[in-house]
Amino acid sequence: MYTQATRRMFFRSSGLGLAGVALPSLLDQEVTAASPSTPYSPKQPHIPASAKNIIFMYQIGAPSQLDMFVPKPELNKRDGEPLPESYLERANFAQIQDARPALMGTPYKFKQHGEAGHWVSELMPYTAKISDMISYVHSCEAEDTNHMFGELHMNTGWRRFGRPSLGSWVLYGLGSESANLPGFMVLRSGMHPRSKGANWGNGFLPATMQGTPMQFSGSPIFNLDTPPGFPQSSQAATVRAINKLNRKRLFENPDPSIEARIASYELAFRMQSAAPELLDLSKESAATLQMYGITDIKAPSYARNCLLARRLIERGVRFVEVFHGDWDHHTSIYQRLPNECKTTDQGSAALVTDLAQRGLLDDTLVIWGSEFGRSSVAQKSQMPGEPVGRDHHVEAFTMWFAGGGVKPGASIGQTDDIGFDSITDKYHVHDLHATMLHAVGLDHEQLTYRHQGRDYRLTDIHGNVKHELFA
Amino acid sequence: MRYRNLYTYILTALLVSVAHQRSACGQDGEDPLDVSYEKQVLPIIKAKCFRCHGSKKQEGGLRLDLAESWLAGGDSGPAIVSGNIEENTLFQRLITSDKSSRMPLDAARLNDSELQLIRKWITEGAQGLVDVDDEEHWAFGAITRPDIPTSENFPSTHSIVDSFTTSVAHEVNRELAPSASASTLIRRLHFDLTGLPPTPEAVDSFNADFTEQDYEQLVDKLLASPAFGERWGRHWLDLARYADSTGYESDRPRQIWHYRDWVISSFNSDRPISEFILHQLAGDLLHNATPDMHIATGFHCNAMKDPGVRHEAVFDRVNTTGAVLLGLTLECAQCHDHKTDPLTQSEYYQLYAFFNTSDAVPFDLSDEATRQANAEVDNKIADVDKSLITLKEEITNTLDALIANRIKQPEGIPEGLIAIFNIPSAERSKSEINQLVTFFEKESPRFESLTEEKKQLEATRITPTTSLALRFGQRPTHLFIRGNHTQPGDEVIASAPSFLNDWTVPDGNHGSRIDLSNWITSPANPLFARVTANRIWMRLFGDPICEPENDLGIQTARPTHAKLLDYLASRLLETDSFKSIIREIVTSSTYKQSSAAKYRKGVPTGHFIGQQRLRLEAELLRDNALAASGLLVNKIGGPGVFPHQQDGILQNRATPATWTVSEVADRLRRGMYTYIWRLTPHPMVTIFDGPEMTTACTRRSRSTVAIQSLALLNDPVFVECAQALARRLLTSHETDAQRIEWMFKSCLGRNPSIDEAATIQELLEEHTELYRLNEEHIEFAIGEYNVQGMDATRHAAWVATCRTVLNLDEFITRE
Repeated sequence: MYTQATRRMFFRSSGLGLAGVALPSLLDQEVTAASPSTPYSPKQPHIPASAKNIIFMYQIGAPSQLDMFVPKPELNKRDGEPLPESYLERANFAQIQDARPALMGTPYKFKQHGEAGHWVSELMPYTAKISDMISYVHSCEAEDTNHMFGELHMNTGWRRFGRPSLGSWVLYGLGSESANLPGFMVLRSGMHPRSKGANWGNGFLPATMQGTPMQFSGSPIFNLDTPPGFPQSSQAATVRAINKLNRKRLFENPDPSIEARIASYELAFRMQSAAPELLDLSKESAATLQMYGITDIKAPSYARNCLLARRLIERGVRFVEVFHGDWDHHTSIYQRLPNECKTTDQGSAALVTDLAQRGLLDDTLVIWGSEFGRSSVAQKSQMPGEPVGRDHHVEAFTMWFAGGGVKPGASIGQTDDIGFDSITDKYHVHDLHATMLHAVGLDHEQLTYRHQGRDYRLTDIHGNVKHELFA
Repeated sequence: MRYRNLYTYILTALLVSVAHQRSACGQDGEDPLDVSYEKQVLPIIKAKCFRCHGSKKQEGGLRLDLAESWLAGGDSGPAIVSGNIEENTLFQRLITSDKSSRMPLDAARLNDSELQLIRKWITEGAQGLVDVDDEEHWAFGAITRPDIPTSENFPSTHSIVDSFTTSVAHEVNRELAPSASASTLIRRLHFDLTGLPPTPEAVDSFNADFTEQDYEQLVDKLLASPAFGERWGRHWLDLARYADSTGYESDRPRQIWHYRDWVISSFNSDRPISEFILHQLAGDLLHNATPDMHIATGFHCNAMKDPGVRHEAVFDRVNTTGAVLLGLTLECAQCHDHKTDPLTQSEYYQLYAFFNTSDAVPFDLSDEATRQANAEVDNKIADVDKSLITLKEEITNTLDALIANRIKQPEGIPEGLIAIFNIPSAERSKSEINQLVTFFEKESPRFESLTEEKKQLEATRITPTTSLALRFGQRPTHLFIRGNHTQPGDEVIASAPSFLNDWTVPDGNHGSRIDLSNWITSPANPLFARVTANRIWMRLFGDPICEPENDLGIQTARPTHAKLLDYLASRLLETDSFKSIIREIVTSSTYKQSSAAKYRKGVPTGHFIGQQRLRLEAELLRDNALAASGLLVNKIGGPGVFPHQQDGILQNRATPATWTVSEVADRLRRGMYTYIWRLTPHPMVTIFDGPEMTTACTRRSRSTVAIQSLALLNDPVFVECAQALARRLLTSHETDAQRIEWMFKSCLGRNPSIDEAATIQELLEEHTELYRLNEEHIEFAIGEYNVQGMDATRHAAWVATCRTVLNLDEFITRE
C-alpha cells in the first residue's frame, strides 16, 4: 500500500493548514459525525426506534426451511405419498412437472435448543447455539416463484426493476452516522444475486442513497490506494481543487447531479483513509476470528463478510446487506445443502454473538432470510441418476431476526402438518418491510418519496407492522 | 374519457385507497382495503374480456366497457347482481369447470388471485363501475403521420420536432429552453454522435457565432465519421447482449466479435433499418447469403449458452425480440397467457417456433485454401477413426483368446480386472466388456500408432476463423405446459401474434425468420418503429418519450409526446435510415436546448423542456480521457483486447479465464473493444453502470457513488492519461497560460474563465512546492512520459494538475 499517512498528518505536511478552501466538510467530519452538509446526515426517525442499524444476511436462492428449522413429523411419516389433491390444485411450483409429486420428509435430525426451545436441525449447529438470542418467523409469505422477481420483491418491495431498495429507503429516512463510508454497504460471497445491482439500487431516490457493493474477489474496494507518484498531500490538494472547480460550476448551474458528484469525491477521499482500516482484520483477536471460523484474514469468505458487517456497523454505517448464494437446490439437495449450511452457519451465528458481546446488538436489527423457501415435495431431476431436490415455495418460509428490540427466543407463525401453508401470523413481504422499517423508527406509511406525481412507499399500499415480534 | 384523464382517475383512486387504509389501520381483523374497480379489477377485465366484450365486439350481447351495460347484461341476463356471488352469471362463468362455457373462452382460466379480487369486488357491491375508453391501446394502433401543430408564435427556425415539443410546452405555459452555448453544443454533438470529445482545433473552428449551416455541416461530418458506427453500434450491442463468452457458471470463451464489427460497419454505412433487422434475424436464410449475412445473425447467437438448457437460449431469443424489436414483455406469456397484454401462451410458442428451429454454430470464415486443407485433414482423420473402430471390433470378437493368452503372464494386469478376466464370456456385462476392450486396446501396438497418427493429424489442422451464426434445422415446437420444457403440450407452428399486424405467409409454408423480420419491420407493425424511434430519442435526451422504453404494452399509458413519437416513427418508416432520424433530431432546437438546471425546474416528466446533463457511460469515460490526452489508438474492430484491470477479478470462476494485458496499440483502444467475460466483466463496466449482458439491456442506469470517484482518481489508466496529457501540453505550448488554455480546450472544449485559470495556476504552484518537498515521488508522477530538458519538479506538478482536470464533473459529463 502506498503512503498510508493518516489524514491529520497529510494536512500538516501539505503545508496548507486547516483553512484549505474547498474542503470544509472534509475537515469538519474528520472528528465529528456527518455534518449537515452531506446527503447522509443523520435524520430523526418518525417514531421511537428500537434499532439504529440493520444487517440483512440475505441467503440467495431460497434455503430449505424444512431441512433446517421446521421439523414436520407428519411429513416424515408420509414421505413418498403423493401430495394431496387439495394442495396440488393451487401449488405454485416453479419447476416441478410431475402429475402427482410426492411428499418428502427430511433426513436430518432435529433437536430443541436453548430456553427458547427452537427446533434446529443438525445442519445448523452454530445457529442452534444462539437460539435464545433470535426469533424465528416460520410463516413468511412471498408472491413470485421466480428468483429474480422474488429477490426484487424482498429487496425493493416490487416485483419488477426500478424501485429503491430497502437499504436505500432506510438511508433516505435516517441518513448515516458514518462520514467516512457510504451509509449502505453491500457484501457478497458465492453466487451473486440474480437481479444484481437492482437489489441495492436507489431507484428514483437520490443517487447517494444507493448501496455501495464491495468486491468479493481481489480487493474488496477497488482503487483505494493513491497511485505512486502522488503523496497523500497531493491527493488532498487534487480533490480540493476538483471540488473547488466543481463548486464554481454548481454555483453557475445549481444541478443536483453536480452536488452528488462533489459529495462522491469527498466521500471517496475519506474512504481512502477509512476503508483500509476497515478492511484490515489483523487487529481482530484470535478469539474473534476463531468464533467466525476465519483462518486466513485475507481470503474472501462469507464469514469474513459477516465480520466486516460488524466492523461497518461499528463505524456508523446504517445498513449492511450480506448476500450469499446459492441455496437453489432443485436437485441433489442432500448433497449440496449441508455444504451451504457449513459455509454460512458459523459466520451468521458469530455475527450475532459478536454484536452482543460488544453491546451493538441492542442497536442493530439482524435479519436472516431469502426471497422464499422450498417445498414439501420432492423434485425429480431431469438428468437420469441425479438425486432429488426441492422446488421453490412461496406459501411459507422461515426468516430469523435478532437484536434491535426484537423479542429474543420467540417463535412466530405455524405451518400446517406438511409445512405447505402458513396457518397463523402470516408475514407477507410487505409486512416484513413495514416491520423492519418500524424497528428503525420509520413509519412505512410516512416514508414516502414523490416521483412522477405520486408518493411512493417501500410497501406500496400494503404492509402491516408486526408488533408481536418486538419485546 | 381520454386516456390521460383515466390515468388521473387511477391516481385519485389510488390515493383514496391509501387514505382509506390509513384511517382503517389498527382495526384488528378487518381488511382495510376496498377493491378498487379502476385500479384492480378493470385491468383484468380489459386484458381478458374486452377482446370479445368491448366496444368493437359484443359476444353474447355483453358489453363491459360501459357501466350501464354491465348492469343490463347480455343474452344470459345481468352480468352482476350486487353482492350475491352465487347469482352472478359473470363470476360463475369465470369459474365453471365446463370448458366450453368458461370465460375467457379458449384461454387459460383466471388465476386464483384474480378470481379472489373479482369475487371480493362483487361481494363488496361491485362499486365504482365507470365508462371506459375502449379505444385501441395507443401503441397498438397503426402509425400514421400526425398533423403538425402550427402557431404564428413559432420561430421560423423551428423544425417539425420543435413544433411538437413547443406546442406541448405551451400547454403547461412553458417555453423551450434557449440554445446551449457553441462550446457545449460541439461537445454534446461529439459525444452523442461519436462518443469522443472534440479536438481543440475542432473547438476553435466552431465559433460562438456559428450559423445554422455551420451546425449542420458539423452534424454531417460527425455522422460520416467512423466513430459514429462505434458509438451507435455500442448502443445496439447493449440490446444484443453482446459478450465474448457464453455466460452462466461455465462462461466459456466464444468467437463472435465479427458480429460486433458488422454492427459498427452497418451503422457507418447507414444500412437500411429493415435490412439491418432482416440480416440479424434471418441473414443465413437469404438467397445467396454472403458471409456478412451469416455473421449478422450473431445478434441472437449472443444469447447465453449452457449445455442442457438449450430452451433457455431460445426463450432469450424470443424475449429479446420482444423487448428490443417490439417493446413487449413477451416473457410473461412463457408460462400462461399474458396478464395484461392480449398475448396468449400459444402465441408465445408460435414465436418460439421461429427460433427453435435454429442453433448457434461457428460459421467458418477462413479462406478457400484453409478450408480445403482442413477438409483433407478431416478425411484422413476419418480414415484413422475407421481403423480404430475395426481394431476395437477385432478385440471385442477375440476377447476370450486374448484373455487366455494374457493370463499366462499376469504382470501389469490391474487388480480389479483380474476378477473380470475370470467371468465366463456369456456372463460379462456391457461395462465389463468395455473395461476389457479398453485394456487390450492399450496393450495393442497398432492402437498406439493409430492414436499417435490421429494426434499428429489434428495438430496440422488450422484453427479456422469463425463467428457464431444461426443455422437452420427442422425441429417441431410444442407449447410448454406452465413454461416447463419437459412437459410439452400441443404442437404449434411459427406465426406472429394476432393482435398486431396481420400475419400472412404463402400457402402451405411455415413462417420463416425472414417472414418474421418482414412482419416486424412492416409499416403495418405498430410497435417496431415506435420502440426504435423512442430509443433513438432516449440516447439523445437521456429519457425516452415513452416510459418505460421496453414496454409499450397496455400497462403503459400514452406518453405526453405520443404525437412526436408517432411522427418520428413515421419518419423512420419513410426513411428506413438511422442517420436520417438522428440528423433530424439533433438539428432541432429541442435538442440544442441548454441543459442548465434552471430551465428544467418544475417541468413535468416527459416534456423535454431543457436538455439533460448525462454522465458519460462506462466505456466513454475512458475513451474520453484517452482521447483528450492523445493516447487513444483509433483502430476499428478485431478480436477483443485486454487493457489493464485490477487483480482478482477472475478469481472464483468455475471455468478459469485469462487476462494478459495487451500490447500498447491494443491496450489503449476504445472501451468497446475490451474483451467481455460475461460473468466477470471489466470493473469499469460494473462500477459505471455498464450492461449486465445476461439479457438485453435496453437502457443503462446512471449512478453516482464514491467508488466511481475512486476509480477516476486512482485507476492507473487515468493516471497514465494525466501523464500523457502533461507531456502533450508541455511540448506543444510555452507559457503556463497557454498550457492551461489548451488543457481546458482539449478536456472541456472551452476556454477557462479567469477565475478557473487562477485556480489551476494556484494548484500548479502548490504542487510544485509539494514535489520540491517530496522529490522521491517525482519520478513516479511523470512515469514513462518524461520531456527532455523540462524541470522535473514542475513537470510532476503539471501531471497532478492534469489529474485534477480529468476528474472534473464537467469532464465526465455530456452537458
